[in-house]
Amino acid sequence: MFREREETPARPKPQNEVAPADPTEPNEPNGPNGPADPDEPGGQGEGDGDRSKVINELGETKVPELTSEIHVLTIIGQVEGHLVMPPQNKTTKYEHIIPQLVAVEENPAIKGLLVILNTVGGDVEAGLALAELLASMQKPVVSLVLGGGHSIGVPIAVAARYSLIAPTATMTIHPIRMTGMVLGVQQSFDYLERMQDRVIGFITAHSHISDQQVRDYMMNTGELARDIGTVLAGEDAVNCGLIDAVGGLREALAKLHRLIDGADNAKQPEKAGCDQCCGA
Amino acid sequence: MRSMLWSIIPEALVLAGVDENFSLLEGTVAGRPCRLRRQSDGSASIEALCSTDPKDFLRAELAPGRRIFLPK
Repeated sequence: MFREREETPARPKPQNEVAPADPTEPNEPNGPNGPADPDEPGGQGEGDGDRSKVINELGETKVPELTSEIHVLTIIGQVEGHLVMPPQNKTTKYEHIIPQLVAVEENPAIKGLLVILNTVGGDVEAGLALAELLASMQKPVVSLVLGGGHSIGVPIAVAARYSLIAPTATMTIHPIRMTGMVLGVQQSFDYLERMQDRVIGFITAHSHISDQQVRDYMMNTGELARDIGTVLAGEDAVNCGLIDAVGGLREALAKLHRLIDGADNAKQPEKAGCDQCCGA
Repeated sequence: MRSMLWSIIPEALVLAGVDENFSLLEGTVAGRPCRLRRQSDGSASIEALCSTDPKDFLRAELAPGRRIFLPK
């Protein structure tokens, strides 16, 4: 069945169940035309016309399939929390990531998780929820910051057992802000400060940066034109102890495979862990 | 409406249009209930998957943002 949540008279009400109307729909290898892969028994192959139609209409192309023991999770755009973001935002929805992390932890075929970040930040509580889950996973987790891992992307990046940043990537550390009506009273300031303490506590517990250093970066007034805070580029983020190493996909995958094999577990320098932030 | 954002994008940009009334469709995709956002070209994109089975969230065909052709 198919129904509108809020009635809008101008729009026709669909009658049928949503079903792929186009036989070239991707991710459906056994769709109405049978297996699309020419290597599969009975496969008819995928014509150039069909392929270009898929790219044109869906923005997707068929990627090489492989069997891997690593699951890749991308966290891009805004981390979306309790509020559905307007459509101009690219978002990562935390209610989708949380069950994914549970599934990754439970799936015996998945041995490790690679988290790729290119995020501008987002909802604080949603981001912290993801960071806490990543930090508490039994399976090895490696994070790779590409482009940017700003704001709430920082605790998510450091939550991994090992974190990498691309040489050209940046991470912005700046104060948390609150949207909506804010009462100009001491309690509002105290609440923001407590939230900031939680975030800083998590970052320092899961990286090698000191509490004071994070606060100094956060309150830096000499770097950003329209905000206070600090932008850390790849090497800077490593030098201050926030991120473990500069690298790219090759280094991230190599590290994850070593962690999966158990070769690097003993070599990993100790982080304080959740004992210093949430006690978990 | 209040949330705590920590983002380098100004909140005026992030939340522009958040008060506008938009409707989400409810339907079934690949056998699972989903919320869909209607697109200007008549198609829809998956906004949220409504499932209690964690395995469903590993299925690429149910990932948020995937375009769905609505029946005519």
